[in-house]
Amino acid sequence: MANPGLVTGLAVASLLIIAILYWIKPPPPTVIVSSSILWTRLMRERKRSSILDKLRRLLSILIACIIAVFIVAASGGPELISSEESEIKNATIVMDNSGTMATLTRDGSTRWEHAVEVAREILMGSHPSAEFLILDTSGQIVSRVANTKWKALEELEKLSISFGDNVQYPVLRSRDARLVFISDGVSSIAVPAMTETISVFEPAENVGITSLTVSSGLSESASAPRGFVQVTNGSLNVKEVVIGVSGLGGKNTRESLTLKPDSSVTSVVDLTEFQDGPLRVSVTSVRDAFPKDDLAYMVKPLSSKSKVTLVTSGNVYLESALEAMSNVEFSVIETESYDPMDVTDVYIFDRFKPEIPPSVPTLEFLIAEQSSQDIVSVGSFRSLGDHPVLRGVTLSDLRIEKVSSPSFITDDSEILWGDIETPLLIAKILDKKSVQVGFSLEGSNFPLQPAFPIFLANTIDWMLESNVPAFVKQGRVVIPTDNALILDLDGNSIEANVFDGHTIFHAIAPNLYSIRQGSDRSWMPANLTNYNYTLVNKSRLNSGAFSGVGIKSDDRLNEQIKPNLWSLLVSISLLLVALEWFTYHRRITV
Amino acid sequence: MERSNTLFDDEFLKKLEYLNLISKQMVPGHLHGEHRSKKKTNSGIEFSDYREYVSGEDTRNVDWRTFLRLDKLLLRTFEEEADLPIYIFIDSSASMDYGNPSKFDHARKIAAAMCYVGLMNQDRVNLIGFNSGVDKQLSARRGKSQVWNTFQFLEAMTTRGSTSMVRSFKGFFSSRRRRGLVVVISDFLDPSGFERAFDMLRHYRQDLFAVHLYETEEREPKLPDEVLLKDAELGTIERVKITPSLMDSYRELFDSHSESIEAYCKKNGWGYINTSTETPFEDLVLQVFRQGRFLK
Repeated sequence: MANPGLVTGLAVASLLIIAILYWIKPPPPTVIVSSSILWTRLMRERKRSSILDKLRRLLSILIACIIAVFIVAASGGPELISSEESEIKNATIVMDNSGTMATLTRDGSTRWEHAVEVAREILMGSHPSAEFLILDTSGQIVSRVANTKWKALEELEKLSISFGDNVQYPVLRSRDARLVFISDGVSSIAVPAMTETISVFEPAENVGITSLTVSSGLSESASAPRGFVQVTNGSLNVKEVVIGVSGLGGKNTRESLTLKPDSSVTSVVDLTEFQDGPLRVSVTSVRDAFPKDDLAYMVKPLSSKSKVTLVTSGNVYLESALEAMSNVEFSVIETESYDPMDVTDVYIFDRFKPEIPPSVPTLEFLIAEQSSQDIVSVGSFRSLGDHPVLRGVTLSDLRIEKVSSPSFITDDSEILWGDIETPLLIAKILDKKSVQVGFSLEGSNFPLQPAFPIFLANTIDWMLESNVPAFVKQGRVVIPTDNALILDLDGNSIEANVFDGHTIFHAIAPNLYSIRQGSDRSWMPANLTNYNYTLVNKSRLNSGAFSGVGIKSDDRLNEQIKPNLWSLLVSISLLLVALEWFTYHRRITV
Repeated sequence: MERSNTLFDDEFLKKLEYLNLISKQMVPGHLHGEHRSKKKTNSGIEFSDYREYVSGEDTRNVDWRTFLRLDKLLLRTFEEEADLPIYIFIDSSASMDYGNPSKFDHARKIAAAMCYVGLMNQDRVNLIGFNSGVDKQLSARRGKSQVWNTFQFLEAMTTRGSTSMVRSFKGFFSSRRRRGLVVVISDFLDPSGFERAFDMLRHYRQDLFAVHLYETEEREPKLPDEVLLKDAELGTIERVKITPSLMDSYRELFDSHSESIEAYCKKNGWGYINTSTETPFEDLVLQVFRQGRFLK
C-alpha cells in the first residue's frame, strides 16, 4: 500500500478541488419566458413541500466527493487484512535463477515458474506494510533497497533464468528480516545459515551435450576433420539417445546410443563430407526435461592447406617436422632470399630476425646467445599449460642449454612457458599473431621430443585461426574485434557494446552467432555444454519439500484469491459514477 | 390588390375568401344582417306573436280577421332584425410576443379572419387591442369596404406592457355598449387571473368566445438544470432548479389553468378554444365556426 499520508493528502486535495469546482460553478442562464405566473405559483407550492430539491446540490456534491475519495484511496492499493497477515514480516527473497531452473516439471511448467509462484505467494500473503527485497543468484538485481510487495512483485517479474557460470549467493547486509532462498538445489551455491530454503526441485529426465569440440586434422595424426560430441545422461534411468549431426553438403548423421544414469559417452563424427562452416548437433531422448542442452553448434574449419615458409640457414628438425604435416604446403628459403612481400600464410624464422617483419603470423626460433647456468630441465610427462599452442604438449626429460636474452619480451608479450627472467615461449597478439621460442633447437632436446610436431601444428593452428573464439560460454562474451556486427541464427542483430577495442554482448544459449566486420565473417557457437546444467538431478534438496509448495491446484489458488479493498473501492466508485449519471439525467442531482 | 405585408399577404387573403365561403356552407340561409334580436317590434317581416291592443297604439298592425273571429283587438308583433356587434379583443401584452411565429401574429391572423367573415356578414365589428388597459381600438365597422381598415389597424398593433383584462373590459364596457359577441384572443396569463374579468363580461351580459393561445414551448419548455426565468411582462426573475417532477407539476399546472378557463366558459354557456400556435389559423377559425357561436 502506498504511503497513507500521501493518500490522505491526495484525498483532501481532491475534495477541495471538487468543492471549489462546485463553488465556482457558473451562474444559471437567464431564460425569458412569456410569463412567470405559473412558475411562481408552482415554486411557491413546491418550496413548501420538497426537501429533496434542497438536498439535490448537496447530494450531488456528496456523490462526487465519495467517488473522488474512493478512487484516491484505491490508488493507494489498500487491502483487506486477515488475521493471518496481521503480523508485519519483512523478508529478503533470493531467487535461484541458474540454468537448471529451466528444467521442466511434471505439470509442464519450469522449476523457475514454480519458484516465481512460490515467491509470489509469499508476497501476496504478507502484511501490506511489510517490505521485501528480491535478489537473485545471477546478479540481475543490483539494488539492495527493500520495497513494498507490489514493487517486489514487479522486480520478480523482471527476473529471468541466466545460463552464465557466474552463479553465487548475493551479498546481503545484515538485516532483521526473514531470509528465503528459493532454489532447485542443483547449483553449488553456499547458502548462509538461518536461511529458509524452499525447494522447487523435482526429479527430471535429461540427456544433454556436455562437450563439443572439432579437430581440423592439422595437429592430429589423422588428417580428416572430426567432431567430438560428448553426451551425458543426467537422468535417474537408462536412456536411449540419438545423436544427430547436420550441416551443409554432407549427409546428416544419426547415431543411437544407450546411456546409463550419470554416464557420458563421446561420439566421434567424421566431418569430411560436410562443407566448411556451421554444423548442428542434436541429442534426442524421450521425456527430456531440459531442452537447452540438447542442441549445440560447431564450425568445421577451412580444409585448404596452409602455406608455411621456413626461413633458415638449415634446420633438419624443423624441415622434417613440417614435411610430415599433410595439411601444410611447406617451402624453405635461405635468409638472403627472404622477401616480406612473398605470399605465404605463416613464416617460421629460424635464428633470423628480418629487418622488415612480414604482415603474416610468425613463429620465431630466437638466437640463443646466453648460456644458461642452470640448465632448464623438465621432469617426466609434464604438461606445460592450457594455451592452445601447448594443448597436448607433454614433455619428458627435456633439457635446454642455451636461452635467448629476455630483452625480447615486450608489454604485449604473454609468457606461455618459462618466467620473466627465462622466457622460453611467448605469444603476442598485435596486428598479427606471433610466437617466439626463447631457446635454440640445437641447444635443447626439444626437437627430439614426440610433442615437438604437436607444438608446431598447434602453433600454426593457433596463429591461423580467427581472433574470434571457436566456442563461447553463455553470458557475457568479449570479442577482440572493434565494432563487429553480431547476428544470431535467425539473422537478428544482437545488441552489443564496444569497449576498449572489443565488442561485448550477451549470449543466450544455445545459439550460433555470426560475427561480421567489413567483408570478414566468422562463426561463433555458443553452446550450453556444461555438466552442471545437464546433471539436473544433482540437487542438495529433496523433492519432498517441493510437494507442499510451489505446485498448487486451482482450488488452492482460488482460496488465495480474495477481494482486495482497492478493487472494492474502484467497483463502488464505478457504481456511484453510474448512479450519478442516472440521477443527473433524471435531474435528481445537479 | 397587391399587398406587400407579410402578415396579411395574398396567400392569407385567399385563405380568408375560402373561410368566408366555408362559413356560408356551414350556416345555410345565412343572410346579411339577419341576426335576430329578442326585441319585438310592430314592424318587420317575420311574424313573432300576438299581444293585446293598448289604446293609442297604431292600428295598422291590428289583426282584423282575429277581431272578427274573437271580438278582441290583437296586434301582430314581429322580431326585430338587428346586426350583431362583435367585439374582438386582442391581447397585445408583452407575453404575446413569444414564439416563432409569435402568439401575437397568430392572434392577429385569427382576428383578421373573424373580422373578414364578420364584415362580409354585415356584422358590426369592433377591434380592441388590450394589455394593462385598452390600448387601441377600432370602433364598429360594417361591410366589405372596411376590410382593409381593419387589416391596417391590426398591422399597426404592437405588444407591450402587462396584462389586465379587468381594467381592459372595464375601460371598454363602462361606456355604454350594446350586447354582442365578445371574442377574446389571449394567452390569459393575467397576474390578477381571468375570473374577475369574465365576471365583468357576465355582468355586462355579453356573450364570450375565448380563444386561448399558447406556444408549444410554453407547455414543454426546454430548460437547463438550473435557470433564471425572466418574466417578459413584469421583468421579475425566478430562480428555478429543474427536475422531472417539477416539469410534471408545471405541465399539470399549465393544463389545469386552461381547464379552469374552459370550465368557467362552459358554466356560462360561452365558447372556448384552446390551441397552440402550431395549429394553422384557418383550422382554428373553422373550429370557431363549427362551434356555431360566431356565425348565426
